[in-house]
Amino acid sequence: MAGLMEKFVTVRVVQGWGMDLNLFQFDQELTWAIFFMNADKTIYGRYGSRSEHKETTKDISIDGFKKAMEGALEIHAGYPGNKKDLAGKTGPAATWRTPELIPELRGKPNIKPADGTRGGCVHCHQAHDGEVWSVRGAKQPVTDKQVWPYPMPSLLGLSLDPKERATAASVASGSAAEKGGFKAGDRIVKLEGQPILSIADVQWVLHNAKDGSSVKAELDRGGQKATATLSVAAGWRQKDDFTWRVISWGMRHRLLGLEPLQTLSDDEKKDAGVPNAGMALRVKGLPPDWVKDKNPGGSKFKPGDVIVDVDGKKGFVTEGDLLGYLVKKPAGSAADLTVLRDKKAQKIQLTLP
Amino acid sequence: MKIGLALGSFLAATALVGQDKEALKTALKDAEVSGPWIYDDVNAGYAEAKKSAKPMLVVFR
Repeated sequence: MAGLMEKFVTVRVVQGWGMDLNLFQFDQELTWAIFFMNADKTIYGRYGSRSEHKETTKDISIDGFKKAMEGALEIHAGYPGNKKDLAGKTGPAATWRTPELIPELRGKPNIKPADGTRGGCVHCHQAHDGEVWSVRGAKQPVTDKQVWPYPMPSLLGLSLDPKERATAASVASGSAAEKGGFKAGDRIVKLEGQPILSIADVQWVLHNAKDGSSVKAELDRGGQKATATLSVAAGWRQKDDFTWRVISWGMRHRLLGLEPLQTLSDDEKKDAGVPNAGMALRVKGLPPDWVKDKNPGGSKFKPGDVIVDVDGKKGFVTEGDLLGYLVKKPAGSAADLTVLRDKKAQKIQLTLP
Repeated sequence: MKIGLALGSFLAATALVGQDKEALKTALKDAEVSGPWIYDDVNAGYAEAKKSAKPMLVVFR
């Protein structure tokens, strides 16, 4: 790897302070993320992916990283002849140019240049969190793209091999990927005309895909060229589980005033007196005192309560389903919850910030 | 080897360009290493990439 690294000018950024959000748009909740670029700020590609909290190496590997570096060098060798293909790798202008300009973050104690301590710098994930709560603070609607960012292609049935350069390890039967013509072993060469180096590059294209659109892929299938499409239906991102993301902490506290909720198993539902088909999210606990931004209405819950209905809806199977629904409701609106406490129904109304 | 460890050793092994980053480097417990890394200064990276005609690899960590 050292030989490959020497072919790049290597830069490490340890803080969000001053980060150019017009240029550096990436999944800010990763532990680390990489951009391959030209000196003129043209982006060649991204590396770094994550789909859950525990298995951080499930979506990345040294082999995959090396192959992405090799791909970036190929793009560099073809530059600027290929510049037009790379235009889509830079996103639209950000609402706030740097993290410290995001209204929700202003005045927080760690919103300052890095001093070398963990608490002494702007964390990248705070930009995402700050954006969502600033949008709510401005009484604007929160979008699916903000709640469920950088979707993994596996949501569409396309599982990529982390040891390769965006190569299909498997294609789920009946999925959008299978219907669009993908086959196991296909390497994605381009997506929407953009050269693809990694899973992160695929996520970038999907992140920016409009609901209801069809994403066009150019493939290498055993040395032969092939094409396929990925159709993204309205609401498709909502199938993703975002509760591994730091942003879910604030949602739990601010929207519900609670700690993580547990989906009950069928046996647990039976014990709690909930029909098998109904929603059943158990309150595990209330936030500790040091959590200052919690919804005061959360004090109406008790550990062990089972949420079985929200605004007359019973379709929230997971905590993510419920948080995603609540964060998209207008700021200042009410949420009416029914909980079972000792098998008796109780009504709790929350005002959403 | 897990990628976290492998990348960690690269990232922890960061040589600084510029005089004003020593305190931060010390605080982060980064060690001296192979390969010159530009530390917390993307603009210096652009300049070096232009001069050397190399592509850039920018790590946010």
